[in-house]
Amino acid sequence: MLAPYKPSKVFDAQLTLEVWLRLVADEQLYDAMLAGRHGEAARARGMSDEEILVLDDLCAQPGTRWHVENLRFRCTTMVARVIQWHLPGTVQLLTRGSDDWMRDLAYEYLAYHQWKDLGHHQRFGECQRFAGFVRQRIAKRRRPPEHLETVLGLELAALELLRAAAQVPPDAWPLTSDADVAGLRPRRGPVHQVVELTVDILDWLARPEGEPRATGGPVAALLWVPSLADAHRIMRLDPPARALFEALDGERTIDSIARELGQTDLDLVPLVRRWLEEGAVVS
Amino acid sequence: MGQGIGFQFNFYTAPIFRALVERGVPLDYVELLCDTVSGSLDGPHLIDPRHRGWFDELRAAHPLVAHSNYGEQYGFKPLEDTPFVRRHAPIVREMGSPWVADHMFYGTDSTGYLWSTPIQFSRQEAARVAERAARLQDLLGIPLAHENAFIYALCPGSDIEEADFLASIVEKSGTHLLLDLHNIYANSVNFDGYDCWRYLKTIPLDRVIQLHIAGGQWIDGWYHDLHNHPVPDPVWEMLEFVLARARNVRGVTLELQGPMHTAQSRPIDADWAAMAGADILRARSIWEGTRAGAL
Repeated sequence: MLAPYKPSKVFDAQLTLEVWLRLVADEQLYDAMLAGRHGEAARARGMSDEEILVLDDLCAQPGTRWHVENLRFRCTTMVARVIQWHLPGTVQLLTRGSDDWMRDLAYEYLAYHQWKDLGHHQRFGECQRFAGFVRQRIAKRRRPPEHLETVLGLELAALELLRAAAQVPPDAWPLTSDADVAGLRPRRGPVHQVVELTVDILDWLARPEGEPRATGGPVAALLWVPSLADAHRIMRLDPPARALFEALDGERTIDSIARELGQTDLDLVPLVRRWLEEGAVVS
Repeated sequence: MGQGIGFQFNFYTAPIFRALVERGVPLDYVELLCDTVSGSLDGPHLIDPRHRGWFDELRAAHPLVAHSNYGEQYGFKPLEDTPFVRRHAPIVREMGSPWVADHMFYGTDSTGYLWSTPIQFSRQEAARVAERAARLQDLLGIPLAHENAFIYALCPGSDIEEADFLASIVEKSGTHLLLDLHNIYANSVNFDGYDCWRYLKTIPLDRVIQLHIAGGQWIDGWYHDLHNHPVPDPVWEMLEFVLARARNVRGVTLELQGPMHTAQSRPIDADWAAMAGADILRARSIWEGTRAGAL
């Protein structure tokens, strides 16, 4: 059992927090504190006498070690989980499905960024920063897994789309319609992107397990966010479907677009109806 | 919402919760962490779409009580910019929760810091935190309760005890308390001079609206609040004491959690559902035995 805590003085709370954050970020300063040599290390970093007194206080409390060790374990757990959520194909390629391997990568990624996770509330930004770590660090020390850049590129495009969706006004989101589709003048929804892939890996990405399987290519993928309640969706676009999607500008009816594309509205209506139902297109 | 015994639902305990329901263990409410369902602030969703389905099912089947962990509301940046205001507050409304509880830790933009960054227990910080707490409760329009912390080290400069700190905050802000009995017990085991019963006699029990119970684990000479073992006997004694005196308590929540904070934490196994069921039934027995006299 530990002796009762007795403060040497009442420090300014914000200063105390800043010293604590610095201690966590600076692994060498932390190691020096564990060894009782933090005064020297802190002075070499230009820290003030008051800041060193805060370090003295933390050093005198044995539980400080647990606070730091648990913080790092917890940070790694949370960041690994976020990356697995939003970059599942990339993670599968990098780790072959091993959670422990993912933890190692996340731990190293966080140490590289001085233990400043962007946090549970900036998940897409965190994944984008991790992608930079993959490209700048991991891909330079091991042979990149086959299709890594294709998969990472598509998953990053989805994250960028989601970030863009956060800027769309609520009244700009599409509503589904039971109206006669052929007579409508549909337009593309507010948040979409067509991504070119050098190989067709979409079927594997729908459930990224085992070795990646490409089924041909190149191919175009349509990504869109249907609404404020739905996740993003991905659909393979063959050339006729892409031509149709890009023609949906809100100016022309399906009838007139069909004539321009040399097709009949019977060819186009089922796909437009599906896009309307799934929120890729606004009527 | 009715009163009674609840269970905390989180990523780790979802399978245990389902097992409890299948076994017919009676639960009066489910405590749900806002962060379990919240959409990312850099995306468009209030509720993460991957969780929307089970969230709607859970809400339809059980009364929900909201719990805010990573709201960052007691840091130094403007309150209006915090995840608590931007995400948790609207989620609490979606839950239909009768109150929401939060934690007294510093919020930084790095989420993982939260549990390792306790607020300085000082008079100057009590004034600053109480002002933010009062504004939060006004914004919510429902009672806001603060949970006492499990800590490994005090924030440097803390010159009053946690119980006095919390008592000062609720007095200044008009907010409430979620008393985590296991946190009090664990701190008393680890720190000389930290006395459970003095703590309970210092806290204004009339401000307590919810209780947490849990079990912990010894690792390397420390007793850790890891929510991974049966509720220990001293916590049951404290529960009886508090329920007999705190007339405004509306719920007792059992907390469980997998290895979130340390690799040495006991992993979840098939025995956990039985362990949780036994603790819930014992809590219910104490609830029924004490509430008749208290109400």
